[in-house]
Amino acid sequence: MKELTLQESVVKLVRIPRDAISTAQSTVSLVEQVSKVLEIFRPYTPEVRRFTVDYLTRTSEIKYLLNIPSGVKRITHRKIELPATTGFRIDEVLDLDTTDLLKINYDSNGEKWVFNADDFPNSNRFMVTTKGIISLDFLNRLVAVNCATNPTRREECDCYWIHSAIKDVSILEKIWEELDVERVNVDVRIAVERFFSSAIPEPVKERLKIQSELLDAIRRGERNIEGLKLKYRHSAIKAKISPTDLVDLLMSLVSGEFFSNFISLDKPFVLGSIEPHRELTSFIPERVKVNVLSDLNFQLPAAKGELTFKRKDFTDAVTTGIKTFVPKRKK
Amino acid sequence: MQIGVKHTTMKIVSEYVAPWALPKEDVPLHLMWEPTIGYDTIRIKLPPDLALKEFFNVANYTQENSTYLISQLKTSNFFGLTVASKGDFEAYHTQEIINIALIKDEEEIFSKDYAVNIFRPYLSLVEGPTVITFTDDLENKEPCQITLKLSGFGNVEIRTEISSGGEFVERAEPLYQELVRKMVSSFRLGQSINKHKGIEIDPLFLQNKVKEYIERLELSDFPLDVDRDDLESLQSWVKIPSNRDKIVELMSRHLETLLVDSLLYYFDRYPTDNIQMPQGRPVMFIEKATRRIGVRFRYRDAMLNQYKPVEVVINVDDKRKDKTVRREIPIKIKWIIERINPSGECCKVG
Repeated sequence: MKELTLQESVVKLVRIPRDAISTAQSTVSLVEQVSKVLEIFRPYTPEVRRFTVDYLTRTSEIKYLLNIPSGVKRITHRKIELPATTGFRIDEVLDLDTTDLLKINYDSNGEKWVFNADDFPNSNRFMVTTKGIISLDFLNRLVAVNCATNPTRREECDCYWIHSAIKDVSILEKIWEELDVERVNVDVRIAVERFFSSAIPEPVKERLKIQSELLDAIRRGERNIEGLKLKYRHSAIKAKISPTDLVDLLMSLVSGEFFSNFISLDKPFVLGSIEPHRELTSFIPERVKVNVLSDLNFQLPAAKGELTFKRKDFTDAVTTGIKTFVPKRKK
Repeated sequence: MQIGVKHTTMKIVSEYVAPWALPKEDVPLHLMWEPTIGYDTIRIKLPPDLALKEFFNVANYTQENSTYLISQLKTSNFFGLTVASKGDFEAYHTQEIINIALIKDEEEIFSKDYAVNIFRPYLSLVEGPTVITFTDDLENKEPCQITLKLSGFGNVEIRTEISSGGEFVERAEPLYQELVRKMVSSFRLGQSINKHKGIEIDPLFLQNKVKEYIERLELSDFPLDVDRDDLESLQSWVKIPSNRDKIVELMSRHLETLLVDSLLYYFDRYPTDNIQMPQGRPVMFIEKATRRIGVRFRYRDAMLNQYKPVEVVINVDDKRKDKTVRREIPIKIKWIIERINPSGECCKVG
């Protein structure tokens, strides 16, 4: 039978219901949880080396340095059990003497992670990485994110200020040597609906108006609609775009792939995902949510900068996109 | 945006105050200095119009009126805060000054003023008719043109209310209004509309839209002023599972109209770049015995701050023979935009 790697074992072990973890998170503070883990590792003189919070996925990673010398200690403290109520699971164990990732099988009854010190190689120092999910409340106490609600305009661009900062490190202080809060996410909301409105050429608007009139006439059961039909057919030649084509086109213009061409960011911010937002009852994307990410730590507790949206280039691209459906006039 | 350093012997690693904000918008500020600098207290003097929302990295502080004295930080060389303005502002631009000082042995080793710049939008009436005349000549109808000016900073949402003697009444968003009217009448009468040759619509698109509308109807999430009884009975009708197919049929029948109408309606919704009119182009109705019409433009900014509305009173001179016919008069708005753009560095697009 194929031996499971550590990662595979962990995957198998993640059977503990998330509810149990989130309950643990909401009732016990993270400090208490970390203290609990430290207590479990106590026979091996644990040191917290690095604490990382991934803001975007709401996960935390803690690296512990454990001393597990061969000999008496391994015999007296053979089993190390990490209960799920700590909110953490073991992600990997690294042999620091050989820098090998250990392939050790873990037992679990679904409520705890258990590893057997006997299975460890002959080295002394090991780095154990635990991972856990952290609550939104905790994140909100840890960092603050802000961005401009309305942009200022500079030449042909709209600029939004962005700021993120570590708010309260004391909830975790004294436990670690390094703190990293990664991918702190600021959502900048760019209203795009208004850009489309001015970019849509007259023949397209005209076609829609006639289409609406025609539909109205049909609905009212009017018999004499030949003139309107002719008008509609004529308008459809001038603007070959159908309403669904138009909606599809507008959606493609706010897709991350296309929209990202019009965004630039000051360092240290980097671009995350781009998500168009549409109201339930609306056919047209109303705004685009741009995720702006920064990493914060003790050395860089706050990040500042601007997001620049190339407004004119974007409206030009919208007009060009729509114009492909409007044939040029013959000279 | 920092103005005026009173004196400093301290090396700043990083400092920041958000360069512009709308009234009541959170403004972050931070200060970070060389870790070797020793201090006893950090003093923050806030102007009375600003309220402290929260501190970053502050362990202990005391407060006296608008002055905060920080005695301990959680890590030694960094702190931050967010503030927001408390009330309304009359001026387009208001500058509020926050003074931050580090004190050691009762001496200021650092003192600096940080400016918080608050901007608001401003809507004003430039020109509007005092009287509007109606005749039976429909071709030669007088347009109701109002010129409005938007100045200051920020995007606004404008809603129009019309009064013909009594209270001001807001018109619901016409598209949804129309949709639900159609649905109400269809389901009440069990009405079947003749099939007609439709305009092709992607079936998947149709399916998604129908789903969205049903979900929204179930949540009673329509901004409507249709008859409450009608709406309630429609909602209970929607909730009966066996009616699902009928809803889908009904929706699909109206969808192409909705799609076209929604695109058209949307062109009216953004008359210019920073103005949104969720009701579309405003329209007033002249009923029998209307002598005077009041048009009120209510507006708010992106922080939902409401400002003093702009009102226009128009006298009605009805010269028609038959004054009982209800007449629809669209209001044509001419916009003058004088936008302020808070300063900052140059456009950084490479």
